[in-house]
Amino acid sequence: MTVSAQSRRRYWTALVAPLGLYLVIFLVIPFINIIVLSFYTHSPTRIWTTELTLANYTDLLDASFMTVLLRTLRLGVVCTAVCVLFGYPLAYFLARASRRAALIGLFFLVMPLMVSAVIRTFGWLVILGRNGLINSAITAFGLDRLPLLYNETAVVIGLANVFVPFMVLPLMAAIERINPALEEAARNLGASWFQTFYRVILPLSRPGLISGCLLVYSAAISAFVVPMLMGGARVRVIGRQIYDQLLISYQWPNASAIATLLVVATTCFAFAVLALMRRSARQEQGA
Amino acid sequence: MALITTDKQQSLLPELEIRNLVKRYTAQSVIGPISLSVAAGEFVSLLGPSGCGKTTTLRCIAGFETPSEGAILLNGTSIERQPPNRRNIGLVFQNYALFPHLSIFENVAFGLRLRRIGDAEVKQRVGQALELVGLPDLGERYPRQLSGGQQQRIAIARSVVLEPRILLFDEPLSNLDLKLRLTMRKELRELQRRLRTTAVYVTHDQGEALALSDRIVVMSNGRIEQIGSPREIYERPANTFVADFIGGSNLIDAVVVQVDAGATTIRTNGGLMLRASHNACCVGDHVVAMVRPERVRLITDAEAVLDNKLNARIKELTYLGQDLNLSIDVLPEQELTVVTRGAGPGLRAGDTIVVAVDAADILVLSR
Repeated sequence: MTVSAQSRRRYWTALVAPLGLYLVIFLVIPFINIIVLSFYTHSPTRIWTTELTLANYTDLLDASFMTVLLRTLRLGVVCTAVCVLFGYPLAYFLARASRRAALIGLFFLVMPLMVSAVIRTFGWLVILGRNGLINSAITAFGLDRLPLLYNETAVVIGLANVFVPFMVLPLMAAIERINPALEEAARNLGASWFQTFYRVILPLSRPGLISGCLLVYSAAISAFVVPMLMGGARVRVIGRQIYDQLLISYQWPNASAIATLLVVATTCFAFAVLALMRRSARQEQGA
Repeated sequence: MALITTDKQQSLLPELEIRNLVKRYTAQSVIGPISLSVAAGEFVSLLGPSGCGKTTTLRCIAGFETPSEGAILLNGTSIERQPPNRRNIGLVFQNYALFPHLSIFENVAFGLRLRRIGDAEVKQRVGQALELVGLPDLGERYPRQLSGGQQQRIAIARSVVLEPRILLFDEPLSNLDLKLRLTMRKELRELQRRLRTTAVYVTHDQGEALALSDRIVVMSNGRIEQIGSPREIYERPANTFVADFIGGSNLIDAVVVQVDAGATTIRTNGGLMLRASHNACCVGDHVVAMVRPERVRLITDAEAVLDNKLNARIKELTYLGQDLNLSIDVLPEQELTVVTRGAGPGLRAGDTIVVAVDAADILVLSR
């Protein structure tokens, strides 16, 4: 008994060790390094000194940083909402489509992920730019140009484009597990399409919806390339802030403090949502 | 009770009428045309092997399939273009289709909530429905905590609580074990009688159809083979398909050799001469003679018999408890299945016996 438990543990260790080791070396240790750095004192000449301070965190209470923080969180929420709006119908279609149609659909869905972020973003610039496709069409009709780039809308468009698959995949998996007979039962009992969605599909696919939202939200608030290229200087987000502090101002301790804040906030948020989800699942089982 | 129902049927228009219903999937797979009338309060079964079109017909009535042609009338109003949620036709699913995220109470209340009925009335009607199916105390539970039989009862309560004009059943008992199936069968019939709801019941189980139905619609390959009472279907099958599908039967290829008033003489391909008392047609026709296994009687040599006395040898015996199943050779090439009750003990494979079939028990079907 003990022997088999022991050998089983050894077996599991062998399976998990490679990735575990990789994560420890390239994620955990650097992150600990960042946390430590966030308590060091900034020095214009030596980048940091090992004197411990809380100044890097108290500096963040500054109004201009708060604007950036709130903007980032807002963009995350809006982007997640847009992904839900576009993702649900698509996930439903893919979950209920024939194998063949689902395969083709999935290919187109993940295609944006196969293109580098920079290339894809330049594609958007070509479409949304001052002399881009849309504005040329508009001016051809004698109308004024629209400001399609370098604002929050542009950033949301650019982010949603990449993150929709992160929403669709878990949603699709959840919807696939819902017996289609349940939808027919709801219809038979008098539910319209919308009522069937609201009362049957939505509650039963909620775990998928929550995972999708977590993925999109945490990816959106840490995005960097898209906000920089499509939002420009006016739409400054946390990712950009960290980048500037790190590479332009050489404010490494401050950049570390922002990074730590971002990771801690995201992690707390994710755990809170998951805990909530688990509690409602327990209630459902009537325990 | 059956008589009362029949009287009522005749005095009313058909509650449900299907006129020349056709559903085309591809050029090769076509269901229909199907025409069928169901009277108010009647229990009609659609019976047939899988792929015969019974489920498609049911789904057309419920509104989950749109017929390619034809009409479905509910009390004289055509409904085939109405969306399923506007039809007020209850459907009980094979896999119960209870909502796993809702309590039993909320499952039954689902349709009432959609109709914006007040809490007090919902509570009262759900309570009644749960009472009706004999599970008044399970409201707080969740579907996964219930057994299959209990889940099916809740599914029935969920439909019945809306007082639908018609109740459709899509093989509702096929996921239950045999014993439960027999109990549920009885309960279902009693429930339907009490509520006087018109019922259309899809099944591939002939026993279920015979036990439950006022009338049975036997289907195969997208067509109706026969419509009739259980007794008619069993005793006077219209063709070899029905004869073969419902109950056990001996089907023997034969030729009509003589037709008298009220009697037909046929010769089987093996050379056996048999007398049948009905279904006379024309001399020389190629026909199929059908004999139910339980209509072949074992007799003693001395017994005086008018028709169809045959010498046979027992090829195989199967003891089934109540019944004894015999395979007998009446000729080297002609085997018959015989089901007998009680006359078992002395018999052994290889014994020579004498059997008889009354002329009235031989049905002559066209081939």
